[in-house]
Amino acid sequence: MKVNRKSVAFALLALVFLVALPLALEMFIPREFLRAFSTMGGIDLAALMNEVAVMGVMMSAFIILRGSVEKLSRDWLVLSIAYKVFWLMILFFVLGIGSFENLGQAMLGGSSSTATNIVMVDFRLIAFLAMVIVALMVAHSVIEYREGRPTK
Amino acid sequence: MKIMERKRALKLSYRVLIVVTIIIFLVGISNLMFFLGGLTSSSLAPKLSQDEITGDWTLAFSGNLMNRGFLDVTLFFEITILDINENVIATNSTTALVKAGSSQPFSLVMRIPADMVPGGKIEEARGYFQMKMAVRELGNLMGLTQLMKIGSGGQ
Repeated sequence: MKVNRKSVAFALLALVFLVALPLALEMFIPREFLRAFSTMGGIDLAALMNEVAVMGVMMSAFIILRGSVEKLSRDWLVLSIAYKVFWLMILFFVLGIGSFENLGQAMLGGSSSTATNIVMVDFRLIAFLAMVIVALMVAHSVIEYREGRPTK
Repeated sequence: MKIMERKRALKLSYRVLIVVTIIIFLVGISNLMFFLGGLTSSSLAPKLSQDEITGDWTLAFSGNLMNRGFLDVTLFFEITILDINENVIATNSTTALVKAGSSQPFSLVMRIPADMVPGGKIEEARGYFQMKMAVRELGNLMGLTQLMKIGSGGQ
């Protein structure tokens, strides 16, 4: 298996910015701040950074794998589709501020025994458009694969 | 030839859609910021008064909503008063469409029956004040909703 040098460089960049940096930040930010932010903002910042790190590892793996397969092969098609779906998940994650399952709806704030303050930001239109874009991109990859496949 | 054309059409359509999505996102989020930035304390000023004959309380929100954005915005505003067991005492809601760059008078009046306020002093009554505000734009396709609930009162 031949690994592309450019892919290794990009994978390293992804590891630095999406894995090393969030984990280092988590260590430097005071625990009290993380706790206060979680209570008031309704976001578990420590968990969010860990999730970003996991996504960073996945992205690096994708970049390395994509750089090592032959273009227009069956593996290339599978990886290409998986990579596009992965980007869609990242978009859902960003729009939902850490929640994939909300599909583009971010929920901030929290509640205590006497008060509740919740803010919901609705970006489901953007999430829907992103799904359409990914579907078109997948169709494009399939056509590209079928076109480039040697005829028997 | 046909496959080539289909491939080019697909590539062009997803590229156009990417640009359109980015534009919608940026326009939508900046318009929300402009509208919310224009909401001041005088936009939704509350006023509490008591009817001297019946003893009923009236809570009124009135003001002028200013839309400094470049898209029309629909504002939904709902106020609910709940007792300590979270039963609804009084509720009212209103919707206002604020055109881009213009202002819209806004009013919401709610009556709280006198028998729901023990001792006649609303400041000492135990219960919850709940406010729901929803700002929608782009034909209700994008927006923001805030739900606030505060417990209040004495013994």
